[in-house]
Amino acid sequence: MAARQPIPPSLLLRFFRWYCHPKLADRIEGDLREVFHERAAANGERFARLRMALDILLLFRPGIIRPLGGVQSLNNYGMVGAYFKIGFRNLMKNKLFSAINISGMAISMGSFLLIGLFVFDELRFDTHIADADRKFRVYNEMIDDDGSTRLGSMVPPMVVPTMKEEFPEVESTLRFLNFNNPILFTVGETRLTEANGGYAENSVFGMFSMELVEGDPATALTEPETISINATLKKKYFGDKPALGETITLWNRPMKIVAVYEDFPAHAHFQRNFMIALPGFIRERAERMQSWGWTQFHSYIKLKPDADVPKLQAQLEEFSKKHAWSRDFQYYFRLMPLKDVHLYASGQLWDLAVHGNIQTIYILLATAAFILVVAILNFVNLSTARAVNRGREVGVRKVAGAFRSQLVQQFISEAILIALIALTLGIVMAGMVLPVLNQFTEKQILLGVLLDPRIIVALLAFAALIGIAAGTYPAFHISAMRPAMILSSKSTTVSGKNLLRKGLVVFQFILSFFLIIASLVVANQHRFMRSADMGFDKDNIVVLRLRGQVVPEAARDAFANHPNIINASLGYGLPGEAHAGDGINDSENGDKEMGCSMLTVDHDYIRTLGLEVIAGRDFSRDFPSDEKNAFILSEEAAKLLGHTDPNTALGHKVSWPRWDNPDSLKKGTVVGVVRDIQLNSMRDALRPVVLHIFPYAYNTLALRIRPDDVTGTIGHLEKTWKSLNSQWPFEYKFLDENFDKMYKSEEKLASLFASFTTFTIFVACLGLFGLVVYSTSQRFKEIGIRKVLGASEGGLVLQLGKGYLLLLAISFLIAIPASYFAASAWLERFPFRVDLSALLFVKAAVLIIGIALITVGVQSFLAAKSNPVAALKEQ
Amino acid sequence: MKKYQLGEFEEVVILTIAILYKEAYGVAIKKEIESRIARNVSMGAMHTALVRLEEKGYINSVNGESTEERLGRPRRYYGVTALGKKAMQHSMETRNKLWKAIPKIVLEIKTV
Repeated sequence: MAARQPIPPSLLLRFFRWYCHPKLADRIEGDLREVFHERAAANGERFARLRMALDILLLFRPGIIRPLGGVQSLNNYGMVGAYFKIGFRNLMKNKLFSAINISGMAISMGSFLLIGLFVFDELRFDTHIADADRKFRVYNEMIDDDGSTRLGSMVPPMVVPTMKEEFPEVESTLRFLNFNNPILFTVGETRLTEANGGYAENSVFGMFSMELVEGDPATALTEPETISINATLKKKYFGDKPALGETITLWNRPMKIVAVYEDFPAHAHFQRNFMIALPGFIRERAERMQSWGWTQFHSYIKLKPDADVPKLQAQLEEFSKKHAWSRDFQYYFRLMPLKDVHLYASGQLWDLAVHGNIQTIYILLATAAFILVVAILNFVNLSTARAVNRGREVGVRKVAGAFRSQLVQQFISEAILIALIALTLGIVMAGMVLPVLNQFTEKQILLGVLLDPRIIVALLAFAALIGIAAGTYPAFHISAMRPAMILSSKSTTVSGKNLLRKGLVVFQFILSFFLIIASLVVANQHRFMRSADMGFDKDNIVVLRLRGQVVPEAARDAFANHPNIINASLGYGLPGEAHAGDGINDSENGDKEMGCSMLTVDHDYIRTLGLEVIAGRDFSRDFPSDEKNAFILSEEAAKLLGHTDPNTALGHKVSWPRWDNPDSLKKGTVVGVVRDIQLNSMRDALRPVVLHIFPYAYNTLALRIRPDDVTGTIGHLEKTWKSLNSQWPFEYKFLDENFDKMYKSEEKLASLFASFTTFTIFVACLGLFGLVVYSTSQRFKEIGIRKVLGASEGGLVLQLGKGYLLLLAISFLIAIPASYFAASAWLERFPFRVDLSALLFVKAAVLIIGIALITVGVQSFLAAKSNPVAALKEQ
Repeated sequence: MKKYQLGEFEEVVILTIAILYKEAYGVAIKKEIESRIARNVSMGAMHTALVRLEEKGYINSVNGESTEERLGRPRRYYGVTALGKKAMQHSMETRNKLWKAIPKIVLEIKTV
């Protein structure tokens, strides 16, 4: 043989072995090597190497390349399949525990899905708007005299045009002036009132990425006396005919339709049915449009792509000082990203946006997490408790040569199997509950969202993740058992990780307690606000808005002329409705301005609304001068004037800038003080209120009616309305409707919370039940022996149950302070809040103890009742 | 035809295996084809054909001895199975049938 063997290119051969089917690799490599040596001998090593490279390249073809899945792992797939099969058999073998595990997980996953759908729906708001990341709403931070701040959703008309002039980064702006009241539409012979409209600038189409059915977004709403309506209104008035160029008469003026737009999508914070061109209004009220104090405009700006937003925010402070503060309006104009308006603007006053609440979202997400954690802990608990029963299986498997990693895989796949079954059931449950959820959240969420392939993948991954989270600890715990120990000893009891199990039970109870307290507090706060004394009697009051050519006093007398009408009062400003917020001057203190809520009323107002006069007197027709110079204050307003004792406020001189003539003052004295009135919801702090008579502003009629025969009363009102006023359709509402609306968000949160809390407690109890069933079955013999030796059934129940009572006590120790702080933090934002009484915590504790005792008690009782013979005869 | 599928190159390979009888392993088959019909055979083409033939059940194989050159990789010896023989037979017969069907004149003209 030659001194040196030619060496084939090893790297190439390695590559070959990598891609080649393992079955063929050896024989082909042998052939390759053989040919290589022959070639090397005949033509030299270089040539042989080159040819080998070529051969290896040409061998890279189907039939020779190894299968994609890998031939080796094929066996493992079968193994995993077997895990699932055995897992399934195990589920069937222990139907009770499987049912507990699966139903607990299914409920928690179903709740999680529901909450997820709700949150997803909330987060979808305004995502359809193009360039939303550089669109902002300008809102107003108002500094009151006492230094407190209020946030308003609207700013004066001068703000955004001036911003565009002064800041080059502003690309376009939009002002919208909302109509607070419905407007009468006349098209041909049709007369109907339409709500939800306002004056808008042309930029509205671009700002909200609106789709036009008819009309040109570039020119629409640029001319005075033009209007754009949404597709629903168009259909209502014009059917399927095109509406462009038709006219609608408003305020006896024809408005030309210049655009028909698609209805705003459900997920838009800005929802208006019709918009009239703002330029017409600007032309008529040119002077008023120069105002820096008239905060009545919903204003939006769009910035240029490279704008520096934080810098602009900072510059706006200076801007506000320069324009508003110099004119004595203590406003800071600020920017809020358009997409945030839905969730983050709920603290802004007078907003027309569709509001959600980010806090609700966080609370719900936390609840979802709680429920999941409880279900996972259940699983961990039950599986570790039952590890003993699986001990034999583990022992045999280990003896037969299973690696620990394989056992871990096996137990985790069982957990994943359970999670997958639970997910399926959870989706079914979510599908059944969704209509109910939709009904009281007033959403139209469809389960179809879940059919998105991405969501399906995410859900499967989620189930797998839950399975892994729940299965990991038990898997390691069970697989750690020593086969020799398990298989040799006769006893099947493995001294437990009892501490861990107990710890988990304690943790579950803490979560349950927390949720119970939370839902009780939310519900109590809601009930408190609903039933709080607001200083007036809001029941049985019908409100009519006087429109068209009616003489208010004559109308009042006509309506009041019926036995069911107790009182009738004219005015401008009712609790829960629009009221003026200008204020009075303190004439005894240099005419200092006092910001107050002004109610413009008549002589019967206090009686009709049931206000309580605590000092001085009501307005009276016996004092003809009341109309000219009498004011009645609320306690809060009296305090503002420096009178903590209402009696000293009487005779205090005040004045009020007249609306009909801003340069002249209505001068007068305080003749009475009423108990404080809450004009808004109880979520707001009390505002000072001033009542006075000013017939010029009357636009509303409030009627206190007898609670019986409401239909008859309404019939009378309608008849009277028709006789007075042929032009406007008859519309009325009850005053308490306003308040029902105000507390809707708390009501929703309370009921959502209550249902999810029930779910959580149920899941936690399932787990507890499983544990008790298990531990009593382990102590079956002990119970039998105790009974034989003379233990009473009651004593046995106590014996079995007392351990759980201790766990409950420990969990209360931790849960009470934690939930107390959380609840106080939530209540913080309400100026009027319920007390966190000890009773509340006692209630929650009793509830939990009760449920836990029933769960533990029933099972222990069954065990204690059983005939000892059944337990003992085997040995 | 469907019954015995045999590609053109596969036929060459199986015939060569038959020729080599007990000596048919990769390199030998390659050399035999190259020497007999003066046709370059790449390792890839040949082994693919071998895999196919084996999958179809026309040939079987057994590990044989190894040499120093092969670094312990055994030679894989191939043999024709009964089914393989039938397939070869079938292939030859169909060819013959077709040959016989050719009018004599065609071949005569070709020879001119």
